[in-house]
Amino acid sequence: MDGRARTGPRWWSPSLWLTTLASVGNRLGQGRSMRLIVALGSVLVLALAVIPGTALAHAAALRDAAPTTIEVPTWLFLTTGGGAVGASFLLASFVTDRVFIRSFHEWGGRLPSPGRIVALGGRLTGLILLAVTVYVGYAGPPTGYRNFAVLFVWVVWWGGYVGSTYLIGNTWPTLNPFRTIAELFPTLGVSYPERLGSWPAVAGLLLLIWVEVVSPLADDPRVLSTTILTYTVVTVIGAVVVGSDVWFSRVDPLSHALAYFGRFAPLERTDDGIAFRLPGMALSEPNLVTGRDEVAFIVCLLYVTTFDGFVATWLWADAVVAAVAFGVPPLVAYGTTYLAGFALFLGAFWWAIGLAREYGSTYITRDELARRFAPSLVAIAVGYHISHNLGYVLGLLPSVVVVGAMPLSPPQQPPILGGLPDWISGLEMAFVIIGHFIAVWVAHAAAYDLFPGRLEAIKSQYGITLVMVFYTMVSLWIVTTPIVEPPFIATGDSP
Amino acid sequence: MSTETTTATRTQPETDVPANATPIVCEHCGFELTDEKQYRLHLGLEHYGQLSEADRQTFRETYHEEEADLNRFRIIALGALVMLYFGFLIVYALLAV
Repeated sequence: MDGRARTGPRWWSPSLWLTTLASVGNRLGQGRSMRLIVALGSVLVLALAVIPGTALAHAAALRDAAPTTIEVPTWLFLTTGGGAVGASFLLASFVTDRVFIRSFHEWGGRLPSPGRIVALGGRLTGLILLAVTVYVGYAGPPTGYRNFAVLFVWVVWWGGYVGSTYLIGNTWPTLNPFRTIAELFPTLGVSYPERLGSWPAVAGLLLLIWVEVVSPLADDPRVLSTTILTYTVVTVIGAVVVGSDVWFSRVDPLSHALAYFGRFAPLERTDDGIAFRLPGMALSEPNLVTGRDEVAFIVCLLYVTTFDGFVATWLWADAVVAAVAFGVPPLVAYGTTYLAGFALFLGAFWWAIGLAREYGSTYITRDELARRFAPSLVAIAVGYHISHNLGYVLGLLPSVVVVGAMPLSPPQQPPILGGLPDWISGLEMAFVIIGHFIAVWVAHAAAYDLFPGRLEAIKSQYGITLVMVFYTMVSLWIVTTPIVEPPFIATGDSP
Repeated sequence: MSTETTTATRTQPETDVPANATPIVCEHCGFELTDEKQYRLHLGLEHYGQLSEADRQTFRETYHEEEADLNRFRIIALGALVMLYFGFLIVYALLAV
């Protein structure tokens, strides 16, 4: 029997609401209420204030992507998204019963573990697919949209499979062909310097996405195959030197990212079978994130997907053209913006955590608070990943099937699913917002676990909510802005 | 440890007290808190099993007192939601044609 708070009326009890409503009149005039109004108002005002003025000019472009024929100005559309996230914070603030909040996060159970045969099958499948991809990358046609390697890596693996790691469960530890290869070799057992933590994974993720953005990795099958081979060699050497377990849990950015996505998923493999739970609810576990390195990795995970989308917008195209006209080398412009953006994301998160400390009336360290609130960002990254890839995967699925059936002699024009229904783009926007809803809830639950006072727990979320509102608007803008080919960097024929 | 203990004491998060502040230190786990109210709530939530009946009573009272603050907050949150909803409704009615 849990001895923790069970006192006080439940938030859903009618009597509570009656007394609440009855006391509206005599409470609103009080000074304390006014301060709260100001605090809450600032959330909304900021949501309204960060309207990009230039975006107005692009309302016409958005209209083409919008699911209805009603003309909604861009700023209004973005503000609505931000407002919805702000509203979710307000709604979450009504839920103040600790036992009730925990019940969501504790719901779940276990299923029997799959046998070794299944695991072996998974490993073999991973290996075969890796070999086929690399081979077809070199031997198949050089055009991206006709080459199975390009379609497989970006549509099936990055769009579809990565989606499965957070929608179903993380199967990468079993499927990971790089790990299967690495485990064929004996390990040297060099001890991994603990002070490095997961920083190599942060650097690795930044490097991977950098290569993806500035090289024709998404279009040129030869470059893609070479990159995969390089990645394989680096990974296998690393795993042999420090041991597979350490390498894939600390250093390898892909495994690390998919492990976090897997923490969102409803299914997870554990030592005694497969655990199931509500999606995203395991993100509030106290020891999910262990230190600054992990916090930086989660922020990085969110950032790199944003940057990847950002470089394909007109805003970036205009900015980089202007910078190059000033004499800045294009790669320098890309590089500095890339790192500055990451610093901005880290800074915004750290600032929000500072506010949590201030409003939460607590002496808990910033590091500790950052550790507990960072996992909520995984839910946002998940929502963003779906919305970024849904239309792309659906549109190119016929190509994958046709090209996959005859990878070495594919048709000149593989079929694509043209003219996806309009509601698909509506669905994409919905996923961005749903990701934020779950994030708001996860942060709310973590706050209720950390702070003794329920009011302090709510107040601690001001900064985080502000950052999330702002981020919703940025990511909605990126998702709905028409894709522009990023200037000055080599790209082949895009699919 | 008494057999009455129903809640195992959890590891408390690390704290960092500013030089000029005087924290209230929890006698059971050493966790540092900013004020009396936070301390009372902390005691009840984390060490309910180890408390005397008087301390439990103080916890219940503090918990109920907080309920009043929470209600005030809820009213404002509700007001903000209504403003948000109708604000958008009006803006849409005016602009989205």
